[in-house]
Amino acid sequence: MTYTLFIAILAGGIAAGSSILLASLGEILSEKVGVLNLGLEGIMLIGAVSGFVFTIITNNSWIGILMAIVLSAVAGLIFAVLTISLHGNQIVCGLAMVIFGTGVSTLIGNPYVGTPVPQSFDAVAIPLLSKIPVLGPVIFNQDVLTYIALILVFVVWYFLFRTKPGLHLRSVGESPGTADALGINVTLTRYIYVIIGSALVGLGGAQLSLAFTKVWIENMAAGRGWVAVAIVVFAGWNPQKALLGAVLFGIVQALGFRLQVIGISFPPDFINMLPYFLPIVVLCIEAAKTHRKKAAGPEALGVPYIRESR
Amino acid sequence: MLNEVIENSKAPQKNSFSQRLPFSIEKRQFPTTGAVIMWSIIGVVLALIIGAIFLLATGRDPIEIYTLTFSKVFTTPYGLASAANKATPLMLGAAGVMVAAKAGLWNVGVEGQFLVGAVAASGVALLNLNVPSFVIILLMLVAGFLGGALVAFICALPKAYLKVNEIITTLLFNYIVVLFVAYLVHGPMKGAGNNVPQSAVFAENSWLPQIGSTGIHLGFIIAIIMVILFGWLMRKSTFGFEMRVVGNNPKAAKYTGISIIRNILLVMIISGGLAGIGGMMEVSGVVHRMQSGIFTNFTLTAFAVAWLARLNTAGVLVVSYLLAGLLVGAYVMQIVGMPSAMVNVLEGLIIMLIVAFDIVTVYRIKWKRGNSK
Amino acid sequence: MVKQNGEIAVEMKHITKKFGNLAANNDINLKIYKGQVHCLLGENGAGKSTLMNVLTGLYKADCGEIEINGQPANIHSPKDAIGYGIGMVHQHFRLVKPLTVLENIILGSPKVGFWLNNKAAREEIMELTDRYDLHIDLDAKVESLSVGEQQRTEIIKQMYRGANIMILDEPTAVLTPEEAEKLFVFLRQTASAGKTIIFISHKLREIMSVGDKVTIMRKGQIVGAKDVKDTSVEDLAGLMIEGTISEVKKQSVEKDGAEVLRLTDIYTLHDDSGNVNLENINLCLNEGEICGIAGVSGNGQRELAEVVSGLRFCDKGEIIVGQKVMTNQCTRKFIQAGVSHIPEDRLGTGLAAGLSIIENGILKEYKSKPISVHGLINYKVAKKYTEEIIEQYKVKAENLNRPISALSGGNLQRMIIGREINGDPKILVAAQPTRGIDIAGVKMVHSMIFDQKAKGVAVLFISEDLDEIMEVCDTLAVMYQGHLSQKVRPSETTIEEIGLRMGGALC
Repeated sequence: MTYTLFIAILAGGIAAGSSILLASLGEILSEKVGVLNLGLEGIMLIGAVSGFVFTIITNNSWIGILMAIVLSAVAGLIFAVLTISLHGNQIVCGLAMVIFGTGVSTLIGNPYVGTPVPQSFDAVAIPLLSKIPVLGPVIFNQDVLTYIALILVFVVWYFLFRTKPGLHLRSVGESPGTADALGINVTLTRYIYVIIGSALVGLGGAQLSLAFTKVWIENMAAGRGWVAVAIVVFAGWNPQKALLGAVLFGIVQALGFRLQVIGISFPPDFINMLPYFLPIVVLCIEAAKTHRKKAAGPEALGVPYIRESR
Repeated sequence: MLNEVIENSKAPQKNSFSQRLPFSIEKRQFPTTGAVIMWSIIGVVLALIIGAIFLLATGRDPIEIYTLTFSKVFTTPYGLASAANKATPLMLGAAGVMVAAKAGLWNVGVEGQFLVGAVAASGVALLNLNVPSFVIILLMLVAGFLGGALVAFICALPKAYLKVNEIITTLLFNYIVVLFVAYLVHGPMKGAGNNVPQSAVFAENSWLPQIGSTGIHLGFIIAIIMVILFGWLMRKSTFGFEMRVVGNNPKAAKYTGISIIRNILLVMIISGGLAGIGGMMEVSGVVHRMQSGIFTNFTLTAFAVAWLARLNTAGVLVVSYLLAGLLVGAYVMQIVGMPSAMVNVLEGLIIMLIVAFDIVTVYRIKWKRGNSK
Repeated sequence: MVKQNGEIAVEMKHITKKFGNLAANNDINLKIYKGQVHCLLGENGAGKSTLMNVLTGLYKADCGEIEINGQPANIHSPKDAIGYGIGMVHQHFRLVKPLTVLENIILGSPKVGFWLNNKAAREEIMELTDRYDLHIDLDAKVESLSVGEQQRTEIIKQMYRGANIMILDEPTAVLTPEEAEKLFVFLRQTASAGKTIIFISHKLREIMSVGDKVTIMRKGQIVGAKDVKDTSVEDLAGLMIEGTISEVKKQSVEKDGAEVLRLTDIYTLHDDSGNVNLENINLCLNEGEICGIAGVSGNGQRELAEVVSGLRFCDKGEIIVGQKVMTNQCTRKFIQAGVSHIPEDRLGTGLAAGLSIIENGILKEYKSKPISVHGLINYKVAKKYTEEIIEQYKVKAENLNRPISALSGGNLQRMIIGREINGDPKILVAAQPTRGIDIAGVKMVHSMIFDQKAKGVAVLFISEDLDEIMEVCDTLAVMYQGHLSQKVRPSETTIEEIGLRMGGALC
């Protein structure tokens, strides 16, 4: 009994955390290249609604996923134009994106509230691997999008720290002036990773509507975009630590759900608060530890690059 | 002829092209107020056009929706009064965002502060004290301020002492408070013999009085006065000056001996307190009870007001009234198919367009006079 | 020894570059020969860096042409410049600090493939460092290196990228005399190996010891071009600053005034944020004394200035201002005790760029009586107060309600100095007050400081420029890695001795 509960909470934690993981990975790419994208909550909603609606229209969840990626990349493109080319304030533009995404997803999703999705991503047990005790049911019995998220953790890490474009990406985020002087196209590099980052965030949204809840609910991101932003800071811009943070968030959420199911009489609202408390507490602890040290974030984060300024 | 060739070879190419145009574009160091307002209006109009495309795409008639919304809100006494009531908490929330922004802080937790202000005021109202109405309302105002200030203060502490980003903490607190309010109205605050998750209706002596027969409650006037007062204090008082120095350049603040920690805490208390009073006014002036969802997306709307107003006091008053009108209109028009989410779409679009136009507001077009040599 | 008329490596023709109405470069013509060390000499703001930024494609010239090795070159971006074999070592290093030395060297190089695990690159770099005797740990993070090592990384980076024409912008400004000497040896060696070096400096002795040819710039124009062997220090100095000097006489009255500042055994707290820790600082200042603090920047001068002006707490020790013990009092108390501070980073620390000129004018006085009453600021009085500063210190400002960022660099400088002096201080801490301004500005700052001295103000004058300290100060002390040497009179010491102290060779 306790074993199955334990497994259920861990597996549920990974499933619940995978949308946040994808969003965090997207944000890591964006922030590492020097652009603070606070529009995650809005872009996740855009991804969630477009994945859902296109799956219903085309009856094919893969087309839904594709459209979620494309449309959230478009949102990323708009954000990139505003912040990179027009030097708009990144925080204001990010919040504008949240407002826009919240509105537009509600507007588009409105007729589909309560409609079941015809084709969703269900858990797929991987032969052999899923038979491993504990690890098997926890990791190797998930939906396809969660597998993609887990694989992406290592892909993003390897790309950032072991490849030449990754080196260019990091240098643009740390010191755009240097990168420019060395012939790296700062504007183009920033555009590319802000857009790819947004696409990952949108994919996270699609995981939410097509694999996790499988229905469309208004404002269904429910703060996950903001939690992802917090996780990136907590993770020190490192994909593996972001995995840890996202799973932790997922487990706390799954825990609340399970406790309600087995009938522990504690006001559910307080348990539901935990996933939002957790990032705040973790950030405070992390900040207390690194107090007086220089922040570990990319040096040029949030600063537009203007070449001929001295 | 020869001279011209030499001229052209010397001058950079872009000049030779622009010299042929009948006007030249000059860059100013600062945009003029006129240019700012002009481009803001262009931004709003463009946003309405893009919004219309969205409405068309989702099978609605934008022209009907826009004209009906406008006529139902801004030409009827009921619509005008509803907009004023809706604008009341909004302008206080936006003022909260504005005050914090002047001190360099992003208070995006005004929804949580608004709700706790409402809860605290409701708590006072539900005590059913046997004292004159104005005393109860005064107590509710104080409770609302303290409630909102408390939430903001909790978020300000990690910012002041540990430099934890206040955007994340204030925003996540919105979700925490929403759940807390849900707990209250389902449990301790739930009205007796009531199956709906909401509190009992307040006794009438804790209602904000109406102004004559306008249908507007007194909070509207109080809110305007408070917004103007705090905007003025930020500009003219020494404590406002200190906060602005902190917001503009923390190093300069330290250099002149201004305490950064003290000012962060103080400005967040004021900012949250203003939002909390907004919550008090919503429950005392309009809803007359505590319940969930008294103002959805309050943070986003208040943030939109503050930035569309460019953190200007008078702008906050005007923009909050206009956006409140839009919200009321959307509510009225739900039958025709204008969901209130449309307002969010427009807000987001307008902010983005205005940010995009910011780069052009510093330029001005100067027409060349004739062909003077 | 000097190849007279060898091949021309770089030729710049009629280069003009304007910033607004100011011509930073005006019709510049320049020929640089292969295998030589060609010096560009000029005061700060003479246009040397601008010219080189045009050559490296960072700035676009308004007009003019460039030829490299006799062929017309189209340089529109740094990438183009690299293609022509031009590399520049900037005064502020263009290094990405959190990356390793190796990553910095290969950054942006087309020689490296997609995967970073690149043996070939490492071997090639090792071969380079061996040949030129430039040893360095390739896997160290740049932020952990000394300034000299960072410069070495920068030089290796340019060579790895195939730079045949290497530009060094004020390379010795951050080095100790010893490190500088090493660099000169390297430069001579590299030039004789056939590379072309462009060496930017305003230090005459350096040019005499390292250069083949020298071009002198002043106010955006070339005012002279010489062979180094045919010229002298006096000659060059004349060309560089001709007509811009109006001599300020230093009052040599040296009466010993009362003591106004005493630091005893000061230690500062250990922290990880990259500050230098002060250790065992002892210093006293008398009324009307100008005490110079010399040293290579980054050896604790900023921290010392912060301690004296109450911005930094001490771990141990005692500070006495006037008669009062002020150890670890808040900054405001120091201001009230009459300590004024012209900070090193003027815009970053001394001013709030987004606030108006008036609000910056009253930044130190906003709480005192006629300016504010009952917690409200009287903007009429504030305006008058600011107008006084502006008039007295010749700040050019049109609308005082505009953000102060509207002022030009020189005016910001005058504004902040004016404000700090206007409060009638007892102690004036001037951190690098003349850095980055033209020679007329320098003279003005010096005369302001002499005025203060005449009024009996004690001045702590921090500067990297040893000549300036020798000229201006009554007494001087040298900082090295958080330690301060004993105070001496300029007449009691020599440039050589101070140089040794700056490099830590003498304690």
